[in-house]
Amino acid sequence: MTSFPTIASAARDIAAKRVSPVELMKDHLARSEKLNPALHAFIRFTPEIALEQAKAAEARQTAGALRGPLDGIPVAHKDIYETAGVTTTGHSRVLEHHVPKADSAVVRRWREAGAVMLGKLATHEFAWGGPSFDLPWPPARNPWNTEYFTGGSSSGTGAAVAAGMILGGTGSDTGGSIRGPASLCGIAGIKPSYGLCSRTGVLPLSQSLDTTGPMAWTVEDCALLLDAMTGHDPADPSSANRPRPDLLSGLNGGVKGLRIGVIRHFHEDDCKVSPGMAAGIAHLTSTLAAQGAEIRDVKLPPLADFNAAGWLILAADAYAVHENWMREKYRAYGEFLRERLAVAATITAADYIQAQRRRRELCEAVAAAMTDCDLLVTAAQPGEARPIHQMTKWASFEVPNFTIPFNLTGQPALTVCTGFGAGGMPVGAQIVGRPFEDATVLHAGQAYELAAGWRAQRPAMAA
Amino acid sequence: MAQPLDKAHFEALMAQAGLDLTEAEKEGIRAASAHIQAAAARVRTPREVSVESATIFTLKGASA
Repeated sequence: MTSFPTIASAARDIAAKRVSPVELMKDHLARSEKLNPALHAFIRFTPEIALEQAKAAEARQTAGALRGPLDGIPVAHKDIYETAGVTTTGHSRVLEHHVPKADSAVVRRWREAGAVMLGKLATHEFAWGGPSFDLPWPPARNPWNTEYFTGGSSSGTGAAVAAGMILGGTGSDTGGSIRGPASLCGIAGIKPSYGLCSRTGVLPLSQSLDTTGPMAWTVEDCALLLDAMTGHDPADPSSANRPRPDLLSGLNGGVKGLRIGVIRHFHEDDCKVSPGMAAGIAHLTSTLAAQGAEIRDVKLPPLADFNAAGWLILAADAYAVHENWMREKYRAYGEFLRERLAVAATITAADYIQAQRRRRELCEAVAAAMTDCDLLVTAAQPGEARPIHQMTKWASFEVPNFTIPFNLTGQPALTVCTGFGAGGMPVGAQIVGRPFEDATVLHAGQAYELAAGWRAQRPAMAA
Repeated sequence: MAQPLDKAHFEALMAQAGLDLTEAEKEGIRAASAHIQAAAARVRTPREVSVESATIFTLKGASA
């Protein structure tokens, strides 16, 4: 029987000298190398770096000088996070030989906290083009069923965490790229408040929506990882110059008295979700109610309004990022991304400005709804994962997206596993907070997760 | 459902973008332009012509 430590449990064991960081790293690297041919979660391993970092963590352990709960913890990074001296491709032929000189800010912060990097993780091409089969590396597979989609774009992180290859990893979220894979892979993932975490050194998709964040097996582990990501970064114009939030001290404080608004029309009327997803949302709200939260319904503008503004902005921003390469290296991109970017070239300046104006109205509507609520709840996906070969080129525009509303508003939003649906595939719901109230979101997720008990079950292939 | 861009308009935009597409690619991408047209219509909610867009900015470093 395989054991699956969490970051929190491994940190306790490392601190108590019951676990060697070098052995922990070797165990996870061996597991990763064994499972990767089926999952394609990693596109590159970095064993020399991992050994060097694990030995350094072990030396600190021996000296009684551990840096905190991430010291000696095996992690990996989505391949849009630049890593000094380690190829960073965006999972694209366009940057197949790109070797950055410096770490991205988040990679540096985790490294300085003692985390041990096992390698670089699969993503959809430049965080939008996938799942694609015409790139230099195949798309990641879902460990609950390897014929199924992981969600994207933080696909490798979702698969690697669920399979226990790593204890946590980086994701990024522009329209749901942390929360979608977290839902479909049955893990936890938080898109922090816009501006809470630095994006310096992360390949961009849409600068007004892009958010860096962590993914892990538990909400507590997400809190530990996020705690090591926050802090003002003058090099990132979007970075908020505010004190670092206390994400950890109240994590087990419960939800008594919190007012939770359920955006019922999103998942019951605007886009009716699967029975499994609906049951998960109901379980989430009833569990939190049993712990003293007040549950009420809230009404927002239609989900389609958020999708319209969100996709226009995302697509136009992405086209602006890739405009020159599209002209010069069109055939170097995979089909999905190059054609999505090509259609984005039809967006006019007036379309974009109207989308930004509508975004402001939508932000005001959500803020007004939250004057009576501390948190919002809705689906993270329309349902369970689907077979990977059924995913279409135009899915971004065809399938309603439950996550992009909170990229538009910049609010913190957590996906927590709410059970299992059709085919035994996991489902996850979103818990959304007010801007910079990431701690409240994590408290509610932790309260639910501890009560729900879903964390005992891992994918069979990983056991 | 909104209609895709007409062929001449679409080809002009692709030429402006400098994209050299096959005929099959053009047709697939042009069909998908209907999604963009639908979204562009949806964000154009009723408003006064003078309503501020979201592209205003605040001057930094201006003296009081």
